[in-house]
Amino acid sequence: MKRIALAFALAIVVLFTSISAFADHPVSISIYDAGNATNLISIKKPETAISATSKKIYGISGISSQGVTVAIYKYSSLSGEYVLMKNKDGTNAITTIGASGLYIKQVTLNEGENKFLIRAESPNGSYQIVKFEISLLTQETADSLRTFDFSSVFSGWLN
Amino acid sequence: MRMVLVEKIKTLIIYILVLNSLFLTSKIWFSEKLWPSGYNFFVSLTNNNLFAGFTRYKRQYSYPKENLSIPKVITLCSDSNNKSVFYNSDTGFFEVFSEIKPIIEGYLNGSFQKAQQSNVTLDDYYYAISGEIPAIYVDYQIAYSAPLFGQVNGVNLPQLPDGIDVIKNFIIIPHDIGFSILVKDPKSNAVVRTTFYDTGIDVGKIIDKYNTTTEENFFFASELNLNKTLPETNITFDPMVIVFSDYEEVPPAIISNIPDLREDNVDLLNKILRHFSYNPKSVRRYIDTSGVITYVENNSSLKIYPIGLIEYSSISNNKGIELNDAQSQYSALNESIDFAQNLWNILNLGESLNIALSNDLVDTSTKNEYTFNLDYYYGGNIVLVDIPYEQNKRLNHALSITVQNGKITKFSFLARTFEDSAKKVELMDTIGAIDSFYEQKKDSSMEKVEEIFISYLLDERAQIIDPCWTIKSKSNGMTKIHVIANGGSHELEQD
Repeated sequence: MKRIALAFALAIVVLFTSISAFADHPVSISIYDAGNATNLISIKKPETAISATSKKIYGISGISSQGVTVAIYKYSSLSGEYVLMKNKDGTNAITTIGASGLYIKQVTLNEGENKFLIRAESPNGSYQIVKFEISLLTQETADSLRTFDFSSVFSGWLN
Repeated sequence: MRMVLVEKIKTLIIYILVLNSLFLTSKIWFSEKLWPSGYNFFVSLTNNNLFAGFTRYKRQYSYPKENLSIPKVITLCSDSNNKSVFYNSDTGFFEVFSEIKPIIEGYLNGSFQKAQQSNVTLDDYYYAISGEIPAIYVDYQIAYSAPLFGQVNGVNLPQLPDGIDVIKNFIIIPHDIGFSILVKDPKSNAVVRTTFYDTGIDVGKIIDKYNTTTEENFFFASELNLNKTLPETNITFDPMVIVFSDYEEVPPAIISNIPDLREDNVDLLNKILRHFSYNPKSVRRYIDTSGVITYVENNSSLKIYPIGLIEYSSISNNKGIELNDAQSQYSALNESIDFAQNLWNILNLGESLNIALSNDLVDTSTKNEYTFNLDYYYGGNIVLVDIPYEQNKRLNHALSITVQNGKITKFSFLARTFEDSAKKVELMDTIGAIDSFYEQKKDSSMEKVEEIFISYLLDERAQIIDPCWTIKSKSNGMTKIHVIANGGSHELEQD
């Protein structure tokens, strides 16, 4: 009987340990939160803190370490905070990094400014905050920029 | 008078009904299996040489030859909308391809009027498929030498830009005056952009017509900057690797037919022998304890394995099965495929031979020696083969043919057919597959992921084969194939 009770207690502990790994990411984050670590994730796309694109569906990528959990937030002008995003299936957009260290997240942009925050948390509780802004250009702006960009930067092979 | 008319209408209706019933009956007889075991008397009748003359159009139909010119994937990118990917097994692929085919042919035969041609950078090439501009990306299963690429597309002397000797993929972009084509040579990494004046083909319209998806679940590695050196990890990606951000649902492949190659199936064995120009009456023969039948002639041997494997081998480079025309790589390939196709017809498995090349054909030297490796495709996904079959021997391809000096000197063919399954298997996303592969990685050398694709792994045991992710990677100059299955990854031995 004691063994069963012990096994049950252990199962509860294991269950709650795994939940707490996800639960540590708050639902919203203040714009002033700067984190307490700097080496948990390196964002590869976008390459800069402020960038622009004409793509409505955008891929964010990064490199982290196995066991780190990464959550993505979007700024809400309504609450003035970054709010935890949801996956297509309604679950929180939190990913546990696997052996390769790769992190990929697909986001849908709204026209104009889109402010994102990535929160990477290590199993020991330290966390890193990375903020970036992606502007979705209107078709007209994208076309006019493209004329300039491609004639000078991209060998002039468009328009 | 009216009665006569009514009678005539009745007669006409009866005629139509009788003809219709004959037509439908013939459909059932000649196309469908009448017995659950898969044996079909009428199919064997159509394969009979005498009867074949009447149904020639059907016998000439060959998947392998058709497959040579069919891309593996076409991706449509709109500048502000989503990207759509069409694999050659997808609904709608051939509709898109039929619109792109005239562009490929016109480009190769030089019938379009050139406005400009220049070398551009690799970054330009990757940018073109980033989804920031409208584009059509066309990628083939294998890389072809430029002359061979022309020939498989029906152009004997392709008008390709200087510096482009090998082709695996290219990009078509709409332009104010017509359209541009960017071709990359995967060997030299040279990229040439050619802009053409209006040809009457509106590339922008083709993209808008078929790129109607509202969701997008994949990225090219270059879009995510995963092709750049990642100092934090010892893994990098080829820029054109497609990374799916979602789960994939794929049906398993079920093996439906293996030819009966036991020694008592004399009729079939004699037909096979005659196909390899052996005389069934005079050939020497012995059978080992595992049921492998070996036929020996002066210059070659033919082994027939109960697992459905037929293996021919000549004793020297100058002895073998004479091909009518093996002057060029293309004619040798065509003749070899015909030889395999005819053997397939003899085996009479009741299905078309759906097989495609799986080794690059980029060697343009005139050494008059070619090796063609082909594999089965099921639902558009390659069926990899990894079967140990004799001491220290391993089968890596369903069909492998070596042509030397105009003769087939080596030939091995594993005959199988596959049938549909109603069930679907949920595969992990691409990153999950990369994680599994990475967990099994034994050293810390830099690994370049060259391709990630879904495949089936055929071994000698399973009847139902689940799909799995497969990663082709390069490390220290060595290309490796890793199959991600049952939560782990294992490396396939390569020939």
